[in-house]
Amino acid sequence: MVSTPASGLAVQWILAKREFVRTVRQPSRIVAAIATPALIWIVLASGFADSFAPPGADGSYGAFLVPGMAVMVVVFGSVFGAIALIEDKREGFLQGVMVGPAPRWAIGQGKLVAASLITWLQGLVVLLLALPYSHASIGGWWHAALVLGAVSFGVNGLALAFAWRMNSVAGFHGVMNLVLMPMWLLSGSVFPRDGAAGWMGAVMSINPLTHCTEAIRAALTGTPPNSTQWAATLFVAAAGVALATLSVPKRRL
Amino acid sequence: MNTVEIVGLRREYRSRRRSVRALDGVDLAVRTGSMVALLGPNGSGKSTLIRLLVGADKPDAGTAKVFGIDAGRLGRQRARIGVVFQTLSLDPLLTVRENLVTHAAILGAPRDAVDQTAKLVGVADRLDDRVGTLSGGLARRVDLARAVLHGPELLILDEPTTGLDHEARASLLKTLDRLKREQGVNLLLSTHQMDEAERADEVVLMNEGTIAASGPPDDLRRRLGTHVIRAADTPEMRKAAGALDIKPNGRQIVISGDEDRIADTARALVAADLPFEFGPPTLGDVYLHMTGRRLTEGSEW
Repeated sequence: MVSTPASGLAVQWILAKREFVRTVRQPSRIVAAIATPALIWIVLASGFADSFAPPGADGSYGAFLVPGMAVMVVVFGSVFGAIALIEDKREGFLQGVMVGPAPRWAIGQGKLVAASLITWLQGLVVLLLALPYSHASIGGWWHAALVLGAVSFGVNGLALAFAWRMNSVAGFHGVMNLVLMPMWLLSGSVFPRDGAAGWMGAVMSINPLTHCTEAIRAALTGTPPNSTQWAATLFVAAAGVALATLSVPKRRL
Repeated sequence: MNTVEIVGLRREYRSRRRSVRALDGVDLAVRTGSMVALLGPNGSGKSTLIRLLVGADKPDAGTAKVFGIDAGRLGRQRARIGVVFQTLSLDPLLTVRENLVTHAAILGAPRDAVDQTAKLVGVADRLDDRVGTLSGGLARRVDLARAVLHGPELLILDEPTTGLDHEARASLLKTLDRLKREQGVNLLLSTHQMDEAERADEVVLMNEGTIAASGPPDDLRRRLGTHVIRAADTPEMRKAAGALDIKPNGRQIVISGDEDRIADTARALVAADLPFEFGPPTLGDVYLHMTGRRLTEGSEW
């Protein structure tokens, strides 16, 4: 009997399904990914409530923070997805898959699809909870959700690209601190790009995450994202897919 | 016809401080329908050879072919191979069934393969238990099930019994025998346990990245005659061995040679009250004789 291996798309689905089951069985992972940004949102929104009135967002700092918090949930969630990949390598599950007939691109994209959908759903919870703070129409909310989905693919692709090269969970925290957190901090999530110092504004302008965050903010305040923001959104999603696909090691372990 | 053909395989691992030659010109063939055991201590090159065969690593020189195809270019033909690594390839958070279903789906195994294979390896009653809650022996059997779900023609096992107790090891080896006998699976097994290698049609003795000797277990043992003397490597023992064939390594000595002279030497050792063992040669004796090294550090022989 010779079996016929699953197609690349089927492999993606199988690996994604497994990741969902694993996530559900680790509720602390879901709670941590949502609760931490929620806590930060409460602290920042309350702490700066009367001392900081950003442009747009109805003048409320709490409302201004909502897109950034949704993006933060994705960033935090991507860390869990990357750590899950490192664990898969260390605990051995992946070695069994990697020496099998599944194409490498399908393995890489399977991990990406799973991690992205999980973080996207977590981010959507934030967008839903924040509805009272926004003036979004149903269409606007979906625009925001769509951009957040692209951000999920981009950030998870980046995190997985690092994770494929690492064998230590502790080492990945360095990536989190040196790459992902600065990327989020300089994305217009906590303060607007317009009010930042010149050099910082320039850095924020070339950070594609900034345009995505601003696109979500625009969508939630009733303004459709502009063409630059849509282009950045597409770029972020495409980069994430490319990173997750190309970073799978050629040698199969 | 050969399932595996390896010619002049070399692999060296280099770092800034030093380089280690893990394989140094290995030639090997696994005949279709046979079981081949790679026997050698840790660091002899067994795992490197397996990594190259499953496409997990690339050789510096030489070729490794499986089913006549370069091991690094097997693509979907990988579905014809099953691999059991030293460490489990299972997800401890999933149940046995979920693990097997996941791998079966990737490998394209038929729907009933999970239940059939679970029955074959004796885990049918544990399908709904999470792998993380199983004993080492049971988890190892599930891992074997994972590797044979799709009915591979070649099963490659890298020290599959590491860490198992006697009972679990015996059970696993029995299952391998069944797979070979009933399903005609070709087996390539790496081990440092003599009794595991004894089951093979051909044993390949590996030492420091090279093949020291190979052949059927009986043929290898016959190289040392019908009986050998095993003793501590002391000056008195070397003197007693006289002109007989000895292979001392500073700790142990295996004396082999003509049957009558071995018997005379044994009698002389008894008279001199020197402690020794006398018996038919084992693969461990052959290994020590060929390489001057023991199969397992810490073992008596």
